[in-house]
Amino acid sequence: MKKYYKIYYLLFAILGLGFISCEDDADLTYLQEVNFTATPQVSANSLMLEQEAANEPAINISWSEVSFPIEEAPVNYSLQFATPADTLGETAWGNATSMTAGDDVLSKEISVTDLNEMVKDLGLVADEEGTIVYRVRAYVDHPVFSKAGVFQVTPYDQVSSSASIYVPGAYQGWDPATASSLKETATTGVFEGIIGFTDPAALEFKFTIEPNWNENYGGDDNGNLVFDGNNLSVPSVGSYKITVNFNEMTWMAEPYSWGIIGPATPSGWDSDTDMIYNNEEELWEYTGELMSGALKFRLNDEWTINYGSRNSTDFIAYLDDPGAHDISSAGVYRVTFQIDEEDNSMAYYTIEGQ
Amino acid sequence: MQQILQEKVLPNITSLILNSFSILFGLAIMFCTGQAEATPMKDLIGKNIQYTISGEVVDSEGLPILGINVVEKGTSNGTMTDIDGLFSLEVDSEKAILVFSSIGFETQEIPVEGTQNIKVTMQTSVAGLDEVVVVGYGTSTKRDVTGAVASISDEEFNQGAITNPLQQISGKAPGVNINQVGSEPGSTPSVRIRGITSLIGGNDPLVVVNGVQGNMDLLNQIPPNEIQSVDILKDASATAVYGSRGAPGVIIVTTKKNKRGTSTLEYSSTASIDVLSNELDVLDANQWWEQAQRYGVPASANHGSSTDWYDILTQTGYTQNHTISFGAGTDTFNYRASVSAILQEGVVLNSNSDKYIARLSANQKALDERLDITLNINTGILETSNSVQSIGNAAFTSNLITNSYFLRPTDPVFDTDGSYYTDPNVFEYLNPYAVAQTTVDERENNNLFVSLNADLDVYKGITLGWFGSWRKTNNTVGFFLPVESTDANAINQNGFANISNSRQDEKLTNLSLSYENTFGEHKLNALALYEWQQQSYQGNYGQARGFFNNETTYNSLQSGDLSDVRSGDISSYKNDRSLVSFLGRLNYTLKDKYLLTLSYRRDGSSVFGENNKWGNFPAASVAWRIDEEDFMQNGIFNQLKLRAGYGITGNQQGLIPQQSLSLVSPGGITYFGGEQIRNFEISQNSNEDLKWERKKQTNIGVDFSLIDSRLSGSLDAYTATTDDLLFNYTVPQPPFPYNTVAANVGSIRNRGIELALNYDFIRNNDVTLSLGGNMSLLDNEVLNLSGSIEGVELNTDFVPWGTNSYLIEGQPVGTYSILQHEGIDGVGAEVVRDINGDGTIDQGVRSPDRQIEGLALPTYNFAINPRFRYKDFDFSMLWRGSGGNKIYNGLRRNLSLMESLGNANVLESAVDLDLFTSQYSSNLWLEDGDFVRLENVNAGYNWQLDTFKYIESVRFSITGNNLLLITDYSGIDPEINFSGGNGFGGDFGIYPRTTSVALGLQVTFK
Amino acid sequence: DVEEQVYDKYQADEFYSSTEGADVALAAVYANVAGNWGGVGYAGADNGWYDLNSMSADEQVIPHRTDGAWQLDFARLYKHEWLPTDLIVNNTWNWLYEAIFSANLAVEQLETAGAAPSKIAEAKVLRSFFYYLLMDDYGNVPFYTTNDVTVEELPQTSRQEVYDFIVAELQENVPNLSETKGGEYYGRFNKWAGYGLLAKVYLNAEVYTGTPQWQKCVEAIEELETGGFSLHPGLANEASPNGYQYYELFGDQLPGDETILAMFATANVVSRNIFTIRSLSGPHAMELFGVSGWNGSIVPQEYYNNYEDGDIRKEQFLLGEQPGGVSYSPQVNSLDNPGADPFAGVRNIKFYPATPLDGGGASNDFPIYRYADFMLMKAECYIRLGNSGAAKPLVDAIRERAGLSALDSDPTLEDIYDERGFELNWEGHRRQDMIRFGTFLEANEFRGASENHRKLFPIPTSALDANPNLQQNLGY
Repeated sequence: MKKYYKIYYLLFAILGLGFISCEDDADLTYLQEVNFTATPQVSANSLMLEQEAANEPAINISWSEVSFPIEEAPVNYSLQFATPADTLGETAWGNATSMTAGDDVLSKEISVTDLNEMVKDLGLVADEEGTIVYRVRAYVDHPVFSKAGVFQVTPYDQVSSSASIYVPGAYQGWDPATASSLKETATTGVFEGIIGFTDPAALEFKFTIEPNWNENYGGDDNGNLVFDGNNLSVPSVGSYKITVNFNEMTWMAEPYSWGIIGPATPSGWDSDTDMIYNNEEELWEYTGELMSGALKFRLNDEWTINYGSRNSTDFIAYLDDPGAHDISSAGVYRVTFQIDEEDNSMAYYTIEGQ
Repeated sequence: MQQILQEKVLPNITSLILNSFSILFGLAIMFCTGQAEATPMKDLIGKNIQYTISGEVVDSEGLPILGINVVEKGTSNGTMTDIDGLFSLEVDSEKAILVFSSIGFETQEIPVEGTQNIKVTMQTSVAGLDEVVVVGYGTSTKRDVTGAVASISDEEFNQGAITNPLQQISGKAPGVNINQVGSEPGSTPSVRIRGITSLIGGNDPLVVVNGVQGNMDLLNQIPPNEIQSVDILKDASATAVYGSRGAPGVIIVTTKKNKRGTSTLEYSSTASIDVLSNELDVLDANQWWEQAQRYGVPASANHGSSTDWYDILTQTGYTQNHTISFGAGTDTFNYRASVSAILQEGVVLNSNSDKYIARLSANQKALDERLDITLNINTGILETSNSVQSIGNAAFTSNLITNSYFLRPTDPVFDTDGSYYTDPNVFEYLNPYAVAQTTVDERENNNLFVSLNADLDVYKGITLGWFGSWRKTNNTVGFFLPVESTDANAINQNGFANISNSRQDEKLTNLSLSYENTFGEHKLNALALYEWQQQSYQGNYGQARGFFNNETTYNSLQSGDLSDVRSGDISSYKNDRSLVSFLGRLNYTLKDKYLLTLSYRRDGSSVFGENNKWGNFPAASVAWRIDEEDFMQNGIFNQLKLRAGYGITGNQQGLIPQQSLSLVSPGGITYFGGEQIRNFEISQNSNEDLKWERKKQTNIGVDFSLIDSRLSGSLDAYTATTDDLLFNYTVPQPPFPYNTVAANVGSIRNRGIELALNYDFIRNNDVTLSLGGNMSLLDNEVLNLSGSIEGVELNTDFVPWGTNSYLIEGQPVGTYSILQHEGIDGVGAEVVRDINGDGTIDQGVRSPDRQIEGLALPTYNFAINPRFRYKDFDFSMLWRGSGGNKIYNGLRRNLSLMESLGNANVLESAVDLDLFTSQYSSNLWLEDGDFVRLENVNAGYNWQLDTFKYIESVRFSITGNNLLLITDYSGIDPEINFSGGNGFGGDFGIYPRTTSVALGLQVTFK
Repeated sequence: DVEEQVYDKYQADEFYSSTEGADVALAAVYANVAGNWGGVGYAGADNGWYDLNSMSADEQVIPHRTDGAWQLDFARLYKHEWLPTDLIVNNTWNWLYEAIFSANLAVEQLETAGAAPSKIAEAKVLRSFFYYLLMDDYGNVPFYTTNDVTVEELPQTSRQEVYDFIVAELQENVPNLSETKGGEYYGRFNKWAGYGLLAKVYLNAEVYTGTPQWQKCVEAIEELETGGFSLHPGLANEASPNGYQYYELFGDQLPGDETILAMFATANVVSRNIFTIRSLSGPHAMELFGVSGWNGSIVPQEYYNNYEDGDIRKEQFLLGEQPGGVSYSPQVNSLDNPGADPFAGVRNIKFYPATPLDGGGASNDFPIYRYADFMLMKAECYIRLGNSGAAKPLVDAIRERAGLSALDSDPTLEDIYDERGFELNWEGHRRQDMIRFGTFLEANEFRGASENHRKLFPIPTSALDANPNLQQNLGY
């Protein structure tokens, strides 16, 4: 009896093994569905944009939160804008413009200039009402789009958005084509540059948008800028930093000068001898008597920003360097000075006997 | 040591093992007590009464045996069985004990116990000296063999879910290493006999099935159930008769035949359930995300699912094996036929294999039995669907299942719309489930061979023989990878499909003359033989891409985008090799004690350079039967034989044809003269001096048995040196257009010791308990790799062999020379030792920053095989192990770098290691490869159904395979590719090995 | 009898002995020029001559990234830390010698077959082209002109001698080359391309031999100019790649007005061009071309910053928000471990992918020589010969084509160096230029000044291992 029992036991064990190994397959997983729960909202359905209000908000778009499986991860939202024609067919939204809103941000305000620029890029025409379709994109590990919404918008023609403007004036014969230019700063519509005026009889100038007279600006009686206004001028000979603000329609000219200082210069260590800005060569220059002795460069008669040379052979001066260039013998020299564009801790200068 | 108990079957296996042991011991104890009761008591009364006992004596196959001595124990009263195995004897007590004995059989004692009629089954003795041993071009007996030969008969075969004959002899012969990597359906094990002796290939032994010679794939065509015995020729003195093809050893398979006077019908089947035995622990979704956050992986890499990729790609597999065989034998005619089906469903999705084999063997005697003609016909069909073998992005390519480890557990299988998920942020993202479900990889292999053998007994021991065989193999592979598979290549090509067909044709014929005679104390056997062989290989290939849809898979290449044809889309090839051989052999025996074998073979092969086509291969061996000497007659030895042999063999099979020639082949398309034209290029460095690789082997051995033949065994020691090694050596470029050339340079040596032992604890009619085992030690050394070709001094040391392993003069093949892990620096990068202190880590092959550290090839192998039988119940186990090698665990490296967290998963162990990145493949990933495996546990019950009308006997068996693995190795399985080819010794992901439990049934009909 | 039968290939000696075979031998040499995988070819694919010469300069590099992508070989090139064992060093060497073998073979076969002198000359000029590339990268190299030599007969020849050979060979053979432009000779060395090669060799003569040959360089360019070349227009044009006709110079078929020698490519058939796909990130390229980008090469920030605004050649760079939801930042923090941010670095679409294309590459042909290069070379020689006035119109023409104003004053060598950088970036010339102008060893954002020996690449370790007679270049 006993031995048979053992054998059956063995058989059961083996059958049991068979059952255990027939386990269910693991789940075939699906990417979890993620959706916007509602269509996004706009603050206004129809907009008329004005350049005067360039920096004001034009529209505010808001939407509901989207929750992705990884709850701790921030959801990145961005907006897409397109023309109605571009939201159909194979390549729908292919030419859309995107604008980031940010992480876990549920609304986006767009300023008048930004919106204006964008809708014009999308092909809307100035002073004509057009339709813009927009939708929101939410992203954590894959993009999810909201339903699309629309609004109407009438863009305007941006006045002046060239990267530089021109300063024709008496100092160069009133020729916009060869005039010095002012470059646009980080702020759109604000231009800045340096111009040297050497002739006391030639202190007047105007601003033009292109290197021609088509669109030129001068002053009104209140010192503001107006289209085709009066000639502007600086008070006296010297170098000026000129700033033009088309957003506010204002301008200003501040004296701005690099000078040389030290025993080699006419007034020793006591005060600067100003250099003048050479508009063509885009550098500072001084031509005149120098004694033998040390020479350094400084800005606006202050030591705050100054350059000194480490030796008298390389013709490179370094920001805040204690050294100075040594003029070995007195004479008439032309000194030029130009700060390295990439690395403003260095400046290049020349000193040539005349 | 860490024990990997195969998780899913743990409780059952433990109980299985415990139960089998308790059964084993329990039965042994019962037997002992039974034995005590059976002690004869002296009868005081019945001296005058006479009993007549009659009975029948049969062998293990149930055939009657003539000439068995039957003696009443303690007396000289006896008789002998007649031609029908019958006997009758008068004894004087019903308590008498009969002793049955005869040379070649185990002696048995049977108590009469009042029975009148006894049926006795004689067991062939383990130390059966007259056991037939098949040697090249003939047979011998075990006592006459002078070389190193291992012989395994069908009773000793491993059982269970067998799909290939080699699995049956795994662990059964020392020095014969059978190496199965993983359990992919349709994949076959590799065999190395006495190590790796050649570099270019040609380490596969020659397979001879009933005289037909072939490569290893010939074994695929043999139904495992129909094999009678497997004989393995190991040393050169034995293999030299096969000349060049025998150098790596010879496996001789003899199939079952029907004996005279029998008529049989048998059915046998096994069915097994196969489960994964082990898997790597990678991070689950929570763990992955925790680690990913530690390393600043953005949330955009987390897709919020929880997928067990390995699990969804695997399943429970099964294996079935059914064979029906029948046959009959008369005095002048016998035949045997069988049909087999071997069906496998793999543990990885969509990998399966079906094999069907039909065979017929017929033998007719004529001319007064002087002429003996045998015809063998064998046809097989093998249909396989593979799980993709090589896929993944450029950084790490492996088989499909290994790819599943790399998938982030947070990736879903499907996108929200039900399409297979892919992540656009991951370069060449691969969804392995998509691959498994959409790839079509269908292979078919058709095999046919026919052989005819005729022997004519001409005159007094002179026999003339003719043998011819023709084997044809056709392979078709159809492959289709659609865009949906997510594979980058498929996406680029908009899906592609290809078909490749190949044909092999192998013809062989030989003519032989043999002479056998005995003159007093001299026994002579001589053979002369001429042989001709030709193997030709042909094939074609077509590919198309950009299909309209996926309906037609690879069945309609013309539906592809025919405007997009690329070079390589269409091709065909043909080449062949022919061999001509002359063989002479002489066997001489003096006084039945001193044996001598001499052989000489001359081979010519077409693959060598013009002046080097012929090679000569002599061999000689001697043996001394010490047990036959007078002075040994009272010794403890039942058998003692000393053997020694020396022989030279050659290798040409590893050499691809056409290497000696400078050839021009098409090299795609080029643009010239304003158009796209075919380009031709010189496709190889030629070497007109290509010649035979020669292996010289010396073997010394001893065969013994003692203590009543209870302890028996053999011990062999050998040394084999291969010279003129064929290899693709590195040559300077310039002047060679390519940096390798096939040439004969260098030499390699293998030395080893092999021991096989068996001990019978209990051995009688009802109970046998024995323990068998074998082990082999292997020492391999690359003696030299230098030489010159065309006046170029080759500088060929440190030839890359596997990952970080090399051929280095003075070191074993596949010696690791590897950078030394030193630690992890502040940014989490691996630091390795700058051994020569020059401030840079040189990763070149000869870098001084590498250090020799172990080798890729196991240096020892062993197997232990306890067997037990009680009456009709039998039980056996096979433990097998090997080691001394190291494994470069490249898969672990690729799954351990935390920098990959952003787009892949890592192992749990990587978290502890906390290695962010590494530019090296250092010994951090080198692990010991030693293991012991419980390969096979088998229990069976044989039921003799004398009372049934149609059924003679039934056997039930249950077998567990790969139940236990003991190893320190951290990968899935330490048994990886040891066959010595490229990349061996490294683990870059294998098809998983299964643990299986099989039930077997065998029915013999009347 | 055990003779070997060959059914599916041609025996070399029989094959080449026919006239057609000889032509095929010449075509096979050109097949070596085509860029392909495994570092084979002049340009267009990975890990070969182009990467070696471009990434060791200052114009591009592939950073190792924090997601573990990209091996360090490219970073090592940029940081001048390449090793003799490096794959790219090795590939380039092997490629050039395979090419030289096939060129030797072609010369031999063409001579045996009695081919037209212009064809023999062409094979020889091609061989000189490869030797020039070899000597430019590796210095003293093994030199042979017939294939049946043994290693003993193959001395390592000094750079000077290789130079002398090339000059002599070109002087002799270039005049015999065909004068056909385009058509049958598209992608081949005609006479003008031959003079182009000669001019290149003279231009760098001082680097190679210590003796400058500026005047000879000018003369070679003057010969080239008799072929009649002009700058391709730079006008804005919607239909052209990147919106300017200029970029047709890097398109599918290169325009004949400016192109002197092109490398033909049609993806998946002959060669390929990976430069844009290798640069863009996965989703970005997917969005633009429907194939996944490799997120590889970037343009170093400094290099990019040198371009003036308004330069149409600046259109080839991408920075900031892109289709496909990616955004590239200019600053790359690290080339090797711990790795750069996946989206760091300026990307380049100079070779805006021409169809057919797939994830493995596009079909843009590659400009080996174009006239703008030679105009700048000529200008450079003029300046070096002290005649910067003559250089000005040449430089101005190139600047004006790029939408820039003419120079204010006569160009200096710096101007030439900069202009070559703007005009010829990613065309494989930069390392040579930097060496000639003495900037190659200067420190950059990822390394300090490098040592003098970096001006040559090391002979690959595998070559030294295989041939112990070779002398490694000094410093390695």
